[in-house]
Amino acid sequence: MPITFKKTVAVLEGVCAVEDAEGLLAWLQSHPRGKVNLKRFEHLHTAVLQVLMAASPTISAWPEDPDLVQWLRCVGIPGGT
Amino acid sequence: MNPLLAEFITETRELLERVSQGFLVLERNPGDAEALNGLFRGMHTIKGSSGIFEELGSLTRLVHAAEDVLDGVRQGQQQLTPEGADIFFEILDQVATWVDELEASETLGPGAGEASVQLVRRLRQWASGGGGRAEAKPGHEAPRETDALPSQESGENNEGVRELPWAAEVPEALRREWFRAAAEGAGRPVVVTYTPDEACFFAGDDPFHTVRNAPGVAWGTVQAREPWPDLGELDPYRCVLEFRLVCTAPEGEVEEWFRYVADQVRVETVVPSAWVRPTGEPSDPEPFGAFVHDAREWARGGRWENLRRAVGTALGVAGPELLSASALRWLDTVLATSDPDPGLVEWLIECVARGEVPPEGRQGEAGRPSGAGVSAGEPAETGGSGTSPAPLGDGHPDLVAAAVEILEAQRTLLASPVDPGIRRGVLRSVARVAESVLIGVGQTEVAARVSAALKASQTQGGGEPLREVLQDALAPLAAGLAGPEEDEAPSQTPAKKPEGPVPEPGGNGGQKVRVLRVDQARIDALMDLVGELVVAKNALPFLARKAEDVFQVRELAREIKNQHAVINRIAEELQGAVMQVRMVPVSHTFQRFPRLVRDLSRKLGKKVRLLMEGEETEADKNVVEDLTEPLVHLIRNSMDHGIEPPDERLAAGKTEEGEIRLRAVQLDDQVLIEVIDDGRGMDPEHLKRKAYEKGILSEERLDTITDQEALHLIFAPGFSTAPQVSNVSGRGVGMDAVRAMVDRVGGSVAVESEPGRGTCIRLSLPLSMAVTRVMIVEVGGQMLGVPIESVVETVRVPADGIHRIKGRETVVLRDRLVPLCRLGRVLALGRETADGRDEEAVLVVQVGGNELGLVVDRFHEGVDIILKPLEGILAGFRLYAGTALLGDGRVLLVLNLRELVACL
Repeated sequence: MPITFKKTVAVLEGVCAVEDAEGLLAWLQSHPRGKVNLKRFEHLHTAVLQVLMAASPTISAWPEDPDLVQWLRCVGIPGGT
Repeated sequence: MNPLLAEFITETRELLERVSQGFLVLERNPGDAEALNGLFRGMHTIKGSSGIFEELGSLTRLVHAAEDVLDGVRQGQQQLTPEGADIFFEILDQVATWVDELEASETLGPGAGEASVQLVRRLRQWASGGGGRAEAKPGHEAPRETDALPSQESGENNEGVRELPWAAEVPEALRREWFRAAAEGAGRPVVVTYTPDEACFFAGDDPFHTVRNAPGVAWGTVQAREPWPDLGELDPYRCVLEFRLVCTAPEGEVEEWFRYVADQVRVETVVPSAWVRPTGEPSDPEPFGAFVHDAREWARGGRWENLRRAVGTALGVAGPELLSASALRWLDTVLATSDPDPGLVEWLIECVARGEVPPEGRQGEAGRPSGAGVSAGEPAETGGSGTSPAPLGDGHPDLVAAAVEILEAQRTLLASPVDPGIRRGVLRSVARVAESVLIGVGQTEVAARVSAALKASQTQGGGEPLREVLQDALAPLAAGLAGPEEDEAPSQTPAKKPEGPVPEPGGNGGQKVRVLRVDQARIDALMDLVGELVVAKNALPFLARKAEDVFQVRELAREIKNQHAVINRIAEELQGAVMQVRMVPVSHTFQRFPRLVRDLSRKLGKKVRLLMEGEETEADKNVVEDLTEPLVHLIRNSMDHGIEPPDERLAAGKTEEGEIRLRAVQLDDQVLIEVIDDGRGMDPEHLKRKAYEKGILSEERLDTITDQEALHLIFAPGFSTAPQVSNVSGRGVGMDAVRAMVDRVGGSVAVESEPGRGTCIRLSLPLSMAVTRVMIVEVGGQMLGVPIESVVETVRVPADGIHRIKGRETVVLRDRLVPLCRLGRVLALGRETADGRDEEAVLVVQVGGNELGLVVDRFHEGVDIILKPLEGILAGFRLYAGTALLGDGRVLLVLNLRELVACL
């Protein structure tokens, strides 16, 4: 499972596939103030990206890949460090 | 069928109609921002709702592409040329075909994907093929002309996209780098806009993966095409994203990368100057005053070196986050190229001078509200009249609206046929009303013209001059009314998300019309019930008579009659109300004709203007729907035979542009539909000859036929004057079809024509087909109904007044010879001959222009009935138009007189 749901943070790791979108969406719905940790993920499927854009949760940690950060910044996901 | 799909089909049809009208308006008046926005909205809605259905991918993609290109038009990057409009119309037709297919089989036909891709490709080709790119605009030429040094690179640099509304989103350093590289000939970055299909996840696509790994991707962003819904309503598996990326790899390589999603991707090169856009905080330009002064001087003299040094100095004092500083950095970059573009330099200096991006920026510059050409309502122009709309009734909209209504009514009055005896009076009253109203709303200028027009109208005997004045007066008034709404939409759209779809504030929410969409079957069921009620109600008088005659209770009989009167009134009102529901304006049918005329005039190489009047006239839905086909034939006929080619028109002293007028007027319980052209008219002699040649007219008839009758020859099946069959007309079926339809709904058709002046074809159709009035006659104990509109008179003819001429019984009535037909014999209902009666009851009817006397036993009253067509095996008995239920429960057979005559 590339997404680990903790109490207030969803940690995305590795490659998030299309089927993870639904789980993430459900979690974000039930945790309106939940944060998302992107520290160690490499790629997320467009569907997951879409969920992140729609929910625009607080990002508790940005990924290491600068190229990825550039893409995600443009997404308009606020917060984080 | 899935109710959602059914809804989609109806809605899309309506939208297509509206969009196609929008294109027509736009083609005539390219600056009409309202039309442009309207059709953009329409396209957008179609696309949006089609996205709900997975199987409609081809449709969605096609409409999306169209919307995309339209967006370019809306932002002024592209002009809508006739060629472009042709493609758009083809797209609309394609979508309409698909909608038909959907209705029939709930899925798109097998070739849909291919057709979609083809059209998208052609559309893109047109859009990128210089089909009116913005360089044609004057603003760009200006700086060039003032400059004596033509830029060598300019030719090459002009290829590609000139405006990138989102350029400012890209970090300045990146843009400067691209600009520098491109200006030095090191290759230009490629801009990719990738709009994944909504169902792409199901096809296994991961667009984000695709773009992240695109060759040479230097920058990218992703946006939602529509506002995000609440999380609860979000469908994570419907892709609504749009990616934009800039790749530094060669265009071919990028295209290769996206080849599997080629229909969802736009790959474009960009002119270097599109990247030039200062960003940063607007600031007080004061500190740069001296620099700006010198810089302008040097720029004018082309002394780039001096300028560049000054830029360097100015940069040293400017706060780097200021917009002025950004402009200076750009200046530095531009000046560093081997051959700086003077226009660009001047514009950048202007940016420094103002401390912000000038609103009237350099031509083609991204990000400025570039819709200037199309935004902002222009009510005065749309009216098409030279009259200034300024003194518009002191701006009181209610007053103006009332004035428009009154003037419209006057125009309708002028248009309706009037008895010559009261013609003058009508003209006078129209003139007086118009004059007062116009003065009332401050249109004194036009008002002053009224009395002159009245004189002209009276001497001519027609209402034309007055109508023209009214037309002139109405145009600015109506435009003034429409004005306030026009301003909203354009101004807010380009600013935020110019590429993607724009949420439409006020588009759907505000103007919701309180209209119910009801299945026609339900209305029909209601109508049937009303019919039954009418029949049941008609039974009451019988009951009253019975009460009196059989039960001898006169009191009760009177009560029943009173009650009958009340129920009768309610039933009639109910019937009227239901009929009102079925009434639709003829505009439903009319609205498709502008398109038809446009297409035909392009095909035939004639210039034709279509004027439509009285579109709001209402008639029964079935009548209006049936009207379409005959009108298509009539208009084709006018276009092909009536209107002359432009040179011939000029030679005849007419305006180059022909005119076809389509007019609907309600007259009592009839709708008159007129198709009037100002073409070459028809020559009765020519028609007679042709008809004789074709064997339609016998030799004897050729001598006796009157000119008026000759004009009616055009309705004969197989008749055509066209020397050869074209794809527009000439097969001789069209006009025949017109008459067939008119006959079917119980109307009539008249032709007037004047050689050299034009032709008028007038269809008179019943307002409503739901209720028919028939006259009841009795033959051999059987009741028969005869449609009242065919009845000329009822007479009693003495037996010795009947003569046999050429083996047929005839009677002379008021110096007319009327052939007789004994219904009893023809229908095998009893009496064979006049067996010793000294008087015959004759119902004189008119069928197809000829009179015929029907000999019957007895006349009865006329009744309103609801005619039910014969069904099942009885449907073959064409002699009867249908049946109806009488008040006392008997079934009435209604004769189809035309068929009867044909059988004689």
